Amino acid sequence: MKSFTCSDDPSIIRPARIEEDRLKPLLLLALPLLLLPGVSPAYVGPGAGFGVATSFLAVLNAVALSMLSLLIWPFVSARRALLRSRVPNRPLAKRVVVLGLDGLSPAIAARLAAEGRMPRLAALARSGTLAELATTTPGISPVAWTTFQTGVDPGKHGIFDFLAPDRARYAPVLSSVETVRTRRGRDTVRGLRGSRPFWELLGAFGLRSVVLRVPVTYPPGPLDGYILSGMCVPDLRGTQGLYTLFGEREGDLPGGIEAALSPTGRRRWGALLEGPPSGYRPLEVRLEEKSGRWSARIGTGAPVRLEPGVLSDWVRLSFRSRTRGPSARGVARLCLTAGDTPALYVSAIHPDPWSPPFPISSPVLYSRYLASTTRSGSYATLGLAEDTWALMNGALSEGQFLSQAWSIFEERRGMFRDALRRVRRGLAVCVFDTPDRIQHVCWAAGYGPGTPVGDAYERMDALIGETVDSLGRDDLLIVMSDHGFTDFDTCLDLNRFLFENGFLAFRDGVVPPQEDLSGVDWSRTKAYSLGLAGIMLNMKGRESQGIVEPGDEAASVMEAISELLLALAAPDGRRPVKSVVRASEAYRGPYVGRAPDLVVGTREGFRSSWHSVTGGTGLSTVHPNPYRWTGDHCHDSSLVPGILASNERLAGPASIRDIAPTVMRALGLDAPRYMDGRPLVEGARR
Amino acid sequence: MDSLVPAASRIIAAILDPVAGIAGDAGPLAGMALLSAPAGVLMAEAFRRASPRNLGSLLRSALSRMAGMVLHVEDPVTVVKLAFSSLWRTLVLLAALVPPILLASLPFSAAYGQIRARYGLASPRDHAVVTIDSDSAVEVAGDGVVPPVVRGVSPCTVSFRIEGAGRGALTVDGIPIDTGSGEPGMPLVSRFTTARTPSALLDPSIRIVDGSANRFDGRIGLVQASYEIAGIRAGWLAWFVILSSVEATAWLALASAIRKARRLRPCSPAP
Repeated sequence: MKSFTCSDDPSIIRPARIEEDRLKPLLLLALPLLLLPGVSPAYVGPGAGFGVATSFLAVLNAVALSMLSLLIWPFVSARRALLRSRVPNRPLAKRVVVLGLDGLSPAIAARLAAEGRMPRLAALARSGTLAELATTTPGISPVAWTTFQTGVDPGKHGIFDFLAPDRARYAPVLSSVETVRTRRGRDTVRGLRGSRPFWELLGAFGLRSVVLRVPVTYPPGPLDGYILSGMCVPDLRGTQGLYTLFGEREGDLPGGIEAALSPTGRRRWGALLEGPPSGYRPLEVRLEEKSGRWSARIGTGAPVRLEPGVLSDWVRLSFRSRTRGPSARGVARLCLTAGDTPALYVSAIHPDPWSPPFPISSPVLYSRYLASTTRSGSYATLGLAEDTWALMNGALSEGQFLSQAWSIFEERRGMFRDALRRVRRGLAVCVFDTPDRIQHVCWAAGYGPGTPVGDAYERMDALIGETVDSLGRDDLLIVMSDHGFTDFDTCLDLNRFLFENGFLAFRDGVVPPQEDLSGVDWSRTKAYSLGLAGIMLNMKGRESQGIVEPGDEAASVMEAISELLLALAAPDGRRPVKSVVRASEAYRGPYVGRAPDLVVGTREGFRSSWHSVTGGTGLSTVHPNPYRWTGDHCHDSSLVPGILASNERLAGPASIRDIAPTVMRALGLDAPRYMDGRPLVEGARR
Repeated sequence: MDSLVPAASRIIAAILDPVAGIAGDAGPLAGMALLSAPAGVLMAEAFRRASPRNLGSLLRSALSRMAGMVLHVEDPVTVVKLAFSSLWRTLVLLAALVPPILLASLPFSAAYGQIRARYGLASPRDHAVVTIDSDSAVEVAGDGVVPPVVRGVSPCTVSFRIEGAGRGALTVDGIPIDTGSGEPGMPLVSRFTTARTPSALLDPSIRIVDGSANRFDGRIGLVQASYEIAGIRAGWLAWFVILSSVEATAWLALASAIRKARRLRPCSPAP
């Protein structure tokens, strides 16, 4: 596999030095040492003893495991054969490969395929399937990918947004996980997804699965196979990704922290890097320039040589506990901006795949094993690994951001290729986030040749081609995205809208702008907004200070809000809202109570404002989007369908909830009755 | 090389002499611990400075393949592939370890050679039984001979130890042997040529008999001293290896703590 180093200029991608190549001559040079005369036991010393012991252990381990493997193979094969004999239907495929390309838009892909820029996708369209894939309401990654993995609508899995309201505190919490305290007083993370992923059902029939980076798979559950969690894996600080920029300024920014870099000597600077929120010592950062060469040292780690403007490789960080507990280990990447006062970017601290402080894979060894598929021996593990906030805040240039995104893509590609080699029967799933992240922040440049978005689609096409080439005769390939993309140039501040229309009131003396809901007078508030598309009623008996009676009053409040939202017009005459859907109408299932009471579907160009996502209130209901995040998918779900491509002809119309039943049917299983989707392979050519 | 080796040996001996004096009175184990301390510290520093920066990554690379073998244990094809990959990675790791191993072996070997030259196979203050068989009479004269008097390394290699100059004379086959400076720990130089290999520098006691010394044909047997610590009995070499390695590790930890303490001093603004 060819690997690449990152450069400020994404067009300059240099082949990385590969360790073996560098060590081979050394190895050859070292061999003649063995021939030197004058044998002496003292010559070798304990180091060589360590070397001999290591080699011996390596050989012993290799031989022992190979023997063990050969010994148990007949029994394991017999057990699997027995389990597979329980498969009720004739399988249509020996192996199903699901290639998830987050955010790949069918409209753009079809256009590029027609232009000849996505030839492998065009070939799939000719011989198999290329279609739209209806997404969930709303078309947001955690919601859609959870529906993908469970085959049910959000009402049955309980994930309706990135964030959910804590109805007691009126504060946003993550919708997918919560921290609970065990009987022994330890904090542990519990998943809130309310339905089983379909790969957990395959094991009972002797079918193994490899699941890589599918969103909302954290914490990873047990399965017959291997899983590496994706979106929603936090960083070591417990956030969804918080970078640090050491430089002249100090302050908190969305998605990042600015901290001062203090001079400690001639061309030397120092600072402290905060780690986990409590109970751990920060690490000292020492930055130094000597004869034009920059190096940084974090904690007790080895110095890292930095080239200005170029992202470093992964640096291992170990935060020591203040209470003699185990250290928290993470990995991060650095980027230096040289100058009289330099600036040092330290990415969010990802859990170290070699010894993560919380489980990110199942089995636990799997995250270690995956390190062998990457050049550097480490890889991105944070859920939202590509640092879009660093780009938007100016901590990284576009070139640096793209380098980061593509190097993460290459890591993932290595894992996926390994999975394809290892799984010969069963399921291999891998989700690539790169197209989503790049479209979010580079949408404005369009998708012409040479643009970041255009490049992303072309590289996804190459990935599709690579995957197709690796397929066997009996393999089914499903290429899919969870949603598409569209414009986001104008913000719709839902809390401001509710405030201006009398549904939300602030305490005396409190006036917008507000960053959260803490200044709200709940005794006079009927509705509030939190998350990317939801409006919640301040319902009596549900919210801690609810005032709206369930039933008629709730219905009339929702009716009034819906009418006003649909009638809302921007100053330029455009209408921001396309649909307002009641949860009771949109969803069915045991978790409907977790959903927002109203789901607001915006038109192209509009999205919930940055303020209102976290419960804040801005200065105007409709205002320009201040960030370069100009591509989005948190709109009316009919505007942002995903893509579906396959090497087989699949039935249509297709929805993302159909993928799980389709995979199960292809492998010869019947989808459980609780699943809402239908198999797309029924009636398909085979 | 001929002049370099004795010079290097003298320097090493000069470093170890004061320690050896104390070690001689400290008892076998404490003496050994004391004598191996300089070697341990120097080994640790040599290893630390010569180690490649990506040593940890290379180690993890090899271990990650072993993890893969455990994970895929029910798939023999994958396990065998990963086994070969793991062995290759181990070889790569070993190749990366060659420079630090060579560098760390210098202080280790120098100390080892000195200790062996001074005490043979026994530890400080211990005596060993030395039996000399020869076609001709071997005369050992003088009082205060330090055991072992004669030590054999190979059939054609010998070295000698006596205590103090002027207190005795050693004759082999009627030929008086020049004992060099006569100070403890000094190598013999006059009758024997020096092997032109790095090993001669590392072990000053090793001297290979040249063509003119064919008259001597001695067979020497020594009883190796062994010591029991915590219920484990092992030869002094094993204890030396263990003690010097433990001391090397302790030094690394101490040095790391010192460096950290120095770094955590409050940062003072640059002038």
